[in-house]
Amino acid sequence: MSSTEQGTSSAAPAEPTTAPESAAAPEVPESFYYVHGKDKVVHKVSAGALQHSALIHGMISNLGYTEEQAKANPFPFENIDGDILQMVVDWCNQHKGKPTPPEDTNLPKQKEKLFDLVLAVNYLEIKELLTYCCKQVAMMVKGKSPEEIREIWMIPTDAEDEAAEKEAKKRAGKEAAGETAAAAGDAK
Amino acid sequence: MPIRILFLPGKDLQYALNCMDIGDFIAFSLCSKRTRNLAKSSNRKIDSIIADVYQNFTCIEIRPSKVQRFQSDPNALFIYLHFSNPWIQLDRKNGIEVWRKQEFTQSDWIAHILSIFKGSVIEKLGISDVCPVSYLDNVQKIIPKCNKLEISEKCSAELTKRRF
Repeated sequence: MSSTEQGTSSAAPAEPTTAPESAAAPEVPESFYYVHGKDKVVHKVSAGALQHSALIHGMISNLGYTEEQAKANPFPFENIDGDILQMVVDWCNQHKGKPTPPEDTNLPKQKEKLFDLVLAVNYLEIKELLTYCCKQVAMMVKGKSPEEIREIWMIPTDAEDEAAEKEAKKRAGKEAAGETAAAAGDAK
Repeated sequence: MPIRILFLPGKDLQYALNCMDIGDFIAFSLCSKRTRNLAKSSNRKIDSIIADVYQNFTCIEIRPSKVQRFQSDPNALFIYLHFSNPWIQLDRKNGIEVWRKQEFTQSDWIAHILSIFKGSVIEKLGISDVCPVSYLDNVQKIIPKCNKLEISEKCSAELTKRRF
């Protein structure tokens, strides 16, 4: 993992986003780590906030980085959009060292963002945030009829599922035939 | 903008299903064969299902599990099956809704509901005094099994003697 690969790009701000200071400053200086998403914007996050993510927590435990090393090597999450990672970082900062409330009203209301957030949070293994997100997903269809649910959640009909299955079988058959032909060619 | 729920990781989808109240969960299960199977595999628990037969309809009461931690609505859901109609009516606190499903008979509705709540049976079947004897065959057909049969004391002798 080189710093040139992981460092901030021209899209990145001069200084990384800083985590809000907690009211009671800890006696021992807190260590910070750096993460970036698809947009390469680097976010500075405290180790305390990152503890929410089992994935990052595991990475930190295994690496034993000094702050300088961590700054030079931000954790890259190329599969997560920048604005989604920003939401995740904000949530981790807001809930740093606090018991998680039963409801979280700060989650995105836009459905497509929520879907991306679920995928990101699932990847980063942030259990509490995942719980809120899944609850929010369920609330999207509260009181809706089966037809409305099918539309909101883009659920294919049985006929569409069958057609997709046939198509997949056909493709698999063609691929298998191609592999057999290639193997026969190699044998010759 | 809609989202593709079936593209969510399986565990997350199951969690989202567990957060739904009973009415939404049944609605989801009716979307397609795939959603029905997902609903079945979610092992959703309920407390009990009670059926009461009246003059020309059966009322199915589905009581949510007391230990279901995530669902948003802890109240029972009431579903009405009219003897002469293949559709169902539901009361979900925002007026009576009518749900239809192609080729679904009353028996299919009951079988579907029992199948998505794993291991569930009709806990109690109540026959009220206004239930006509002529409807009992129909009742027996749509609810072939129950744990407890309760016949109103005001029911006719003919109905009471009838073997279930």
